[in-house]
Amino acid sequence: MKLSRPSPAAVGFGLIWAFLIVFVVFPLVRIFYDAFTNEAGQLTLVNFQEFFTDSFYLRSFWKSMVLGVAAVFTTSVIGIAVAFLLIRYDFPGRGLFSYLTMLPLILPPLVGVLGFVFILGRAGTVNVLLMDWFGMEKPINFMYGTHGVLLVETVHLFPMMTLSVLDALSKVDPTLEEAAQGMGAKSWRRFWDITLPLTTPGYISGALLVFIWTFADFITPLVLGVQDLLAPQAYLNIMQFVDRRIFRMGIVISALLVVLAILFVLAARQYVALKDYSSLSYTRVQRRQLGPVMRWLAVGFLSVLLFISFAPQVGVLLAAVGRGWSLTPFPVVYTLEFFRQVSIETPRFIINSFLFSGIAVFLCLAVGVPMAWILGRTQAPGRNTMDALTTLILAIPGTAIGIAYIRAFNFPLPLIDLPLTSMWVILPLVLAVRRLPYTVRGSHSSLLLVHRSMEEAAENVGATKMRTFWDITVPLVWRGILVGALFSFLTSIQEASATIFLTLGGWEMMPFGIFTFYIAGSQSQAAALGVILIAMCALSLYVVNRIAGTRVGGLFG
Amino acid sequence: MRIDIADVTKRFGSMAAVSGVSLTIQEGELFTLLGPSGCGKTTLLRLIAGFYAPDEGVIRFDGRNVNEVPPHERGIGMVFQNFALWPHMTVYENAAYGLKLRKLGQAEIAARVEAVFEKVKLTGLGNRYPGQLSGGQQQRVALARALVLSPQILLLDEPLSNLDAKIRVQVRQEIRKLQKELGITTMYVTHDQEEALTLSDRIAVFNQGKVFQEGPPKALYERPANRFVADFIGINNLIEGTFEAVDAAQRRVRVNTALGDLYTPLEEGFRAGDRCILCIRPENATVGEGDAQDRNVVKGRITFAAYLGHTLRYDVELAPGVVFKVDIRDPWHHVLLPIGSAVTARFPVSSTVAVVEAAA
Amino acid sequence: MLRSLKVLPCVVAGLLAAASPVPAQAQQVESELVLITPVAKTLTDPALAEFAKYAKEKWNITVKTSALAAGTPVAYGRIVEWKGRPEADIFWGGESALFDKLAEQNLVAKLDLPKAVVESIPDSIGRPKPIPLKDPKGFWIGTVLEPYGLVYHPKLLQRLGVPPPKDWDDLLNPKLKGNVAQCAPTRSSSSHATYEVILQREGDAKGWEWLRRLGGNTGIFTARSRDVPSVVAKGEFAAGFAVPSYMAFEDRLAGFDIKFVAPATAWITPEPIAILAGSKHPKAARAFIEFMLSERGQRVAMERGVFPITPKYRVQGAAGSTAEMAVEFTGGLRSYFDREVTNIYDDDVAQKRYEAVNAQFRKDIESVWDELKKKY
Repeated sequence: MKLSRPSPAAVGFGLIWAFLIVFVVFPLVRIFYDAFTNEAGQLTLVNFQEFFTDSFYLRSFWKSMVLGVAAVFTTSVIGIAVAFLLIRYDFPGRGLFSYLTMLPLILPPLVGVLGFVFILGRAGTVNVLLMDWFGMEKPINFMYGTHGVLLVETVHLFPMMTLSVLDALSKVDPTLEEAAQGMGAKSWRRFWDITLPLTTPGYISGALLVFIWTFADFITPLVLGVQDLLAPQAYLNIMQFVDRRIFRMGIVISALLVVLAILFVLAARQYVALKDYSSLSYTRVQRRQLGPVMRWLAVGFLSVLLFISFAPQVGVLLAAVGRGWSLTPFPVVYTLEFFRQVSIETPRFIINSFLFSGIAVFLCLAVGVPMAWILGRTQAPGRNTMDALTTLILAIPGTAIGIAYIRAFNFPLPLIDLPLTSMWVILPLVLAVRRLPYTVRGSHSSLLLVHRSMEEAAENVGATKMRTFWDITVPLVWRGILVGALFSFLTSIQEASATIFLTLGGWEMMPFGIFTFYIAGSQSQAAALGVILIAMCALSLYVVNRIAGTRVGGLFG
Repeated sequence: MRIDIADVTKRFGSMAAVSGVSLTIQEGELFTLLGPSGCGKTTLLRLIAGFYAPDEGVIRFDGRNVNEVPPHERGIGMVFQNFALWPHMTVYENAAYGLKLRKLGQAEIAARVEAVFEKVKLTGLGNRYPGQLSGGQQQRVALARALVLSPQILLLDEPLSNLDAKIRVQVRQEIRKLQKELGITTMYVTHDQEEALTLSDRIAVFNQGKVFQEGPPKALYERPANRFVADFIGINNLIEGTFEAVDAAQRRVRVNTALGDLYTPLEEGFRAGDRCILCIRPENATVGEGDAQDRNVVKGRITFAAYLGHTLRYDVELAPGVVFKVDIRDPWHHVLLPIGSAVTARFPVSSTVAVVEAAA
Repeated sequence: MLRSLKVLPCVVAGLLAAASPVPAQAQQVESELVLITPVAKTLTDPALAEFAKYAKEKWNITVKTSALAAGTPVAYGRIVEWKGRPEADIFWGGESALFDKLAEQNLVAKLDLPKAVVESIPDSIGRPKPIPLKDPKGFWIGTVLEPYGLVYHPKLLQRLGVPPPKDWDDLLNPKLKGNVAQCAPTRSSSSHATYEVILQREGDAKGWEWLRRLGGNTGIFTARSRDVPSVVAKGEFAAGFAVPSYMAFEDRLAGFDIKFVAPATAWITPEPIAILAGSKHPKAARAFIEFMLSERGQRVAMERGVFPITPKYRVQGAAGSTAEMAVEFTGGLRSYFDREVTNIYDDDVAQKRYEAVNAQFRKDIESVWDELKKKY
């Protein structure tokens, strides 16, 4: 690609950069500007001084770090074990258990933690059973406190770790292990010395995602009454506009979250090349049979895990159909009135959800596919920066992006004289920016499957670049792009951190609707809406799976 | 069509993959670029195909400068190392794609594809997908796809490297036959010297972006122009030495080596005092017992014997660390000498080739 | 796009009105109305729905109504950020002091309500500190009376062996340790007032000590005041502090076994309402406020567990009606004008030290919560 002349390619390249600068770089710069100025707009370090001399903030900071590390630890133990069992061994129910890895995709934020409280809260099913049947006097506090947050995050995020490790593990050449076996390394030895180190890149990117997700989640701690963490502090401080000092501290904490995210990404990059874009084609590994004892241990472990993982969904479903459910293991009175109540507003939420997520995906494709092409097929200058920016987006907390957008786009635009924050486009825009990395990665990895020479062969027999793109490249990559796009869609439709700050009346999407009902105290209605959202996501996931499934097994098998 | 490559250089960053190469490929010739991997031969092929533009120099087809001509207007058929078959198209669609782009009628396309399929023995496989074919069959599809457009130049980039040894021999003969039949100017890239020798009309030995020697297979094998070619093509015993005395009358030169004085036929430009390398093919040497009487006879001891069926190869240590290979070409009638036997290695002066390394 | 789509019906309506040979009625309203409000949707939704019905009957106009739910501070912050170009027409709920602040910044418009409507509402209620029910300058007006009290889960209290609480001090019962829910005043301006009640009741020193002891008994600091009755209704915690009556009543309506008590010194808010300056639908906004103050509007509110703002009406309904359920829920009271109202809460004092109290609460209670739990 020659960029010296203002060709259409150069214009497209410029537009992509313009998009990234306006919608990614500028808002982040703006939030830093806010963090380093006072109300009068003068540059100052006072905000950070206040943060680092306030014992409560400092404690929040350390607790957030410790919680992040703890979540990485718990998800590693569970996630790696599950990945290893699923890919290397055969045991009854393996197919069923493999659905474990898909669970987080159908568990919208807030719905998960609410569901957990219904099952494991002080008055949740488990405690009530223990008290009623086993005469326990006081409920066991499973949920309220940092340990509860850790529990929710672990169950929510271990599949992310499993997927990352699974991907890396499937690409480990089995002969490398066989070589070690030939030298007499026993199976555990082999695992520690050969297999695990080989999966490090996948593991590190999984760990980074888990850490940052835990670090940035504010909804879970808030529901569980844990406020001395950074993300809830940012949210709570910003959500009260009255005290401007506290408000500004919220921005400062958001800026800090961004800085930390950047640092973590850099550190992880230092350790491994994070841009190990995974492909969907794996080397087939011969699965081993487990011995009878180990087999039942494995099945037992996975069953318990599956049970706990499904607890929130079950809890939410029960809450959605139970009337006045309190201090009984299961609801006593069943009703559909909550579904009826939410059905008045739900169509609008659903329309908004599909409309905004759809536009977001369209934007993702319009920007992300060319980006993938630039990253995979050209030597254009600034590729590495573009690549780094993509990884960074993945790491920046949604809260921080939402706040950054409010701060950055609240000025009247020329010609239309309206700020971007007053136009509904801002929602699809922010969703597109947040989910862009999935589209870029999906497109990029399928582009890698198309060998350059396949395109050259077409050019050689007389196809123009355009023709080659449509006849050869597109038919070979559309599935991959579609899967990436659907994944972006699926995660957009469940987004509830950046959008919470930006939603105005009439723009509510499903998760915001759930949030509104929850805030209004209608937990049952929030649960009913949650059930609808989960069902919608499960359906979308089924579609994704079907398409991705054919892709792995069919053409390239 | 004749291809002229004049002073062509192609750089990637600071590294010159092709550096000042000049070659001429004659009409209807099968010309091979032979060299180790990473030597720049594929780059040169892609320069001819038009996937790269030369940084310096000119490429001409029949005298016409094609530097600015895009790949698909060069009238070139290309076969890629990994075949580059489109996995989403059938065998027939793969082959027909180029014709379809030229907006030919269905009937004509079918006729032309069928004709080519017949030539490359693919008849009946048109409805299969590439994934359902064997390696040899895939190779034929790639060839058919390239030939169906009746190109005037055929470029083959290591086309046999993904095939099994037996199929390789078979396919290369087919390629050679087809090429002669069609009389198409063909450029062939390979790192396999045996493949190059069997197939080619002429070969250019390529290394570090430069042509080290070009010529017909026989000339390259028997008269290597430098140490690299001598070493790269076939197996050679290389002995370093210095020209001592030129015997113009006998048309030979005495060469002082670590093994004593050896003789080589006098060639133009050999001067006393020049350093040289003597190259002796194992098949031109023999082992015998008894004393050295003739020229180029050296005493030694057998250290290793490899039985290859059609040949028996001895390693003879002529001096500490100097191993000399000798091939016995009729092992049926040869009594195997035990390891450690004291023998003499003999090689005629006429097949002892000298390559000048450095002038005095 | 969506925006222009929204505007379209207005334009069409306007064109139709202009073309119509019949002179436009004296009081037409726009076909859209947007609230920004901390009042829970369980109250705003029925109010808006009933208003839409009313508008259809009266002017044959379909008013598209919506409510932007936002906690008081968020709503206030947004209105300030809009800088006189509001995305909503009406601000409903929160402390009257904030409405005064908005009036100072010219961000709310004068109401210009009919005299009879304004005069039906007394200037204030309660002693020794009267609670203003309307703005003398006419920028805001009260809509309902809403007490902030305690909630508890009767079954759970029974299990714990604790008698039903009557006054604030009952929450300090050691048997309730770990079973009290509260929302920090830093997080909710409406619960902030109840904290002031505690501080102003017996003086700062005793007040803070009381709050520290409450902290020791606390099992959860919820993120929002609305969560307090929710966690109690579910049975997660046994009692909750500083809860508005109607929020608790919603949980009762949803089928939960939850009870509400307003101690004698409970803070009462008139839930002020105002039209935002620069509103795009000022007529609809005014019509809505008038509607809320009419009997029909007041009845809607009374069905949800709050009290009428004027002595003209009392909470009353057929046996078994929601209104009667509300009366029973709030301890048999039908109107605050039926009895002597004690109010010790001084809004001036509270507003002046608003941030100081927050800061001290954060320092003395929130950040040392773990120690408080051990100490008391």
